[in-house]
Amino acid sequence: MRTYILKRILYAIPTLFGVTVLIFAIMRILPGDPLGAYYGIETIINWTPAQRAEILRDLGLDKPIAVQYAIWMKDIASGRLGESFFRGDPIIEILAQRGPISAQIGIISVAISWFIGLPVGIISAVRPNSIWDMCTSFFTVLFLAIPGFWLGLLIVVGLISWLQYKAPIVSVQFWENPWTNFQIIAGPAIVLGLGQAAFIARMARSSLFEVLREDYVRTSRAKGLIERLVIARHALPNALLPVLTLSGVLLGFVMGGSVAVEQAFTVPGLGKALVVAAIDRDFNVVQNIVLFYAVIFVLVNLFIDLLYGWLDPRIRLN
Amino acid sequence: MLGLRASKSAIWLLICAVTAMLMAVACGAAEPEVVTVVETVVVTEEIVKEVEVEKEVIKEVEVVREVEKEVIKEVPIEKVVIATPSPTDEVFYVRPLDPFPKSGGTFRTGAHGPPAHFDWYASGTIANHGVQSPMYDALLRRDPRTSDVPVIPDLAHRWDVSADQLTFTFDIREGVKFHDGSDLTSEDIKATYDRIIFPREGLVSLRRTLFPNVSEVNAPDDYTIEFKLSEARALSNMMVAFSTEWNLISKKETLEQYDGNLREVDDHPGTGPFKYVERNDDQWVMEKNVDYWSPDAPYIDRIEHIWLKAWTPENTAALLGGQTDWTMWLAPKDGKDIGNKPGLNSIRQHLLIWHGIPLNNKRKPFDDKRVRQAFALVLDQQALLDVTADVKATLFGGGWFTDGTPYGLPLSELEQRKYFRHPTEEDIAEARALLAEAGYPNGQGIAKLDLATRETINQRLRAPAIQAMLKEGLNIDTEIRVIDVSAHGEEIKAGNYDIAVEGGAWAFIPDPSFYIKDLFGRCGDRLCDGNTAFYENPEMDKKLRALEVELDQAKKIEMSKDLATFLDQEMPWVPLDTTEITYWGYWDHVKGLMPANSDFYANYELHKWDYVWLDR
Repeated sequence: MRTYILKRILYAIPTLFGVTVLIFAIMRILPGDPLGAYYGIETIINWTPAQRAEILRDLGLDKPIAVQYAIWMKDIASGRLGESFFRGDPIIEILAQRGPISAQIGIISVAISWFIGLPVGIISAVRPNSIWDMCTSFFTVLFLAIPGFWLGLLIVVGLISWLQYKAPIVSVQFWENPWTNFQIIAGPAIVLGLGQAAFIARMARSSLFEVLREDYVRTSRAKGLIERLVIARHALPNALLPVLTLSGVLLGFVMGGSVAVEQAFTVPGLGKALVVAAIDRDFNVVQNIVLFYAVIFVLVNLFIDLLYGWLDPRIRLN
Repeated sequence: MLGLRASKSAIWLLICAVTAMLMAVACGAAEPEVVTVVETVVVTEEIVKEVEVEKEVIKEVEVVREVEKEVIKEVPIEKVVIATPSPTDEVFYVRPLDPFPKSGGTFRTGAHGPPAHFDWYASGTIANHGVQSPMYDALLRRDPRTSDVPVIPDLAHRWDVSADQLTFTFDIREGVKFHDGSDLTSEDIKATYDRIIFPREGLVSLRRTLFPNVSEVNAPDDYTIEFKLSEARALSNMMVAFSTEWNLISKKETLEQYDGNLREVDDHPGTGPFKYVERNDDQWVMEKNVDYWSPDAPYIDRIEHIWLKAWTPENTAALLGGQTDWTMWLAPKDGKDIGNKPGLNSIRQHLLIWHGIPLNNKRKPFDDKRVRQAFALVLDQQALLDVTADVKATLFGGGWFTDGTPYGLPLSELEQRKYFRHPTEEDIAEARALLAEAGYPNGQGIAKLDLATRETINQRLRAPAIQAMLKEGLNIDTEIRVIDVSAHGEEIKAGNYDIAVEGGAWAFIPDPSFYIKDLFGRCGDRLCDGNTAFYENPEMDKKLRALEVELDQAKKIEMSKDLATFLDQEMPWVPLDTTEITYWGYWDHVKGLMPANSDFYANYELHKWDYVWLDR
């Protein structure tokens, strides 16, 4: 098992390296620089070349690309992740402030997806082609089709129009004020959770549907086991394996999707920070948040693989 | 058997619960029923009476209810009061006009930010001024309590102008302290103005152009500051320059420590009504300066500037949902309506920024003024502004000169005037004749023109409209080229375009000799910074120079009329609009601002908040 973990970690290294190169290159290839947002567009057109050069030097943007990349790697190694062009503060502070809120949203949305998606999937598999199966299929397709940010916008507009309510827009951590924190994360967590629940339900249905027709399930029934035990003890554990894998993949989608959903809800999470930084061409912040997402994605998938190995002895043995 | 029944019941219950949940969610996303209700909104109206009390005049406000609120009409009615250059009472302080202002509370603003640095001398973005100005004072300021926004004292409580208008002397308030406890003296003001007017090599000073005629700044004693001018300018222009609230006073020690480069400073003490507390990725927090030199002020305990990007739905949503008390940069389509919502008010700020369509004068066919005139005749400015009305609130008005100033042409006159009115058949016929006269009959001989547009929504909307008008009116083909926001300026400045969808210049001083010179004139031995169409004409420079040095206001207005006629003939750019509206929105409990529904003309001023109080 130790070798297995070590191998997976070693595989992650080139992945993360590729991500750093890719995002660093993309931010440099895109036209424009952060100076427009930094000083105002109308201001920078009046700069002399000497003034522009001095400001680029201050920001470290006058150095060769390779040197800039090396400096970033050094910043990552130091744990500070570099500094925002805008405030000059370490980016680690942005991650510390906004990361927990995005993490809460991610975790709660996954919990919601299992809480709703799994029962729906089971019911559909157990009673195929019934009215319940058709109803749940309708709703799962509906939530697969509705974009999260759009649903988020509808909720925000509806709450403002009918209740004059808008969730807080300044980050408050759970340990500082649980109620305010709940108001911040509830909306995006539900929207993202419903979107994932649809995937989970579809996967659980097809997986369980298939497993219920396996020989060992038929044998269990022939032995006289009641249907509840057949499903819970024999069918479900095997049917859940692909659902588990899907959850790992979905978490990646949650992170990507949360950018738009957080923006729709004006949630002070990492997604919103990423959007603002991209608009302002704050290269350092964009690079580090994307890298952070990549690390989380790799770690979650590593965890899922390990869990998979633990649940399925065949994988461990192989 | 019993167990099986129980399990079936459990499954049914689960099915019902999940279905109900899904249906509830699905119903939540359904389109709400829309009912149109016509109602009369009851609002308050402020009636201002003046009552003399000892040395100062305070204004008593009587609240009258039961007034029907009228639909907002975007017609500027105010005129800019560009200066109040008279000695004032030593005890003049900015106090709320309300009779009994309350103290306390947290004021949450929707702020376009965060500011990237403390070097506001080099900055032209509200991200700096809007957030940082409450922590600092200026020499003079604009009165935020009235839509006339006249010049009033700030750190300077009295001023004198010599008879030849070559020396401006300001008396500074005594007892003013920086937030670190040290005293403010005229040396701090001298150091600040030296940074603004005489920046060292490599430092940017955006408002240096306000003081081209200041030859030296002296501090004869601790509480006197003196500006020597090499050449007299209109008094009103000088007072506007001195009252620009971007020229916030920094401590001499700080400026010396960083050699004038405040980009590297994390925070530095000011003398303003609010002190720095903290900033993060969400907001900038400041607290009341209890040692502020103005008695009773500030009235607010704490300000939280919350970052919300300009023109975004999030900005509007935060205000409507009560997460902010005040905001500006509302998206125009939201801003127009915000004052009609219960509990909310709006004020329209007219930013003094001139916009037009640059035609690259150094490239063919625009090196011929007949072609430029032909373009101006077929381009319908009002229609082009209407195209972007929902995303950028610019008003047609003023003509060549800033609307709301004595130089701007009234709308009634403008609508009759060739080059500004909706193109008539005669205008189009004349345009075609001019084009033929210039050697391009029916647009023949003009290759497809490069129509450069910035990657912003308003310019992207306007570009196809320009393209269609040129094709229809003159049979001229253009190709729209979208350029990234931050690369756009360099591209235009380098002259890599034929037509730019929009260009502009700030009228920091609302006198044509300032911004028209920047756009179409020469500054010393080179073209001025804003002259991105590369227009050169000694006669233009001569007229601008005459206007620049003329001190008599009446004569200046006459000269500007002559200049407008000259610009019609030369048509270096196609003029579009001269002010841009920014909508302020705020809740009823925010008090001390100028009357709701006002229009005022100023550039990013009035964000000090020492005059605002909260009535929650």
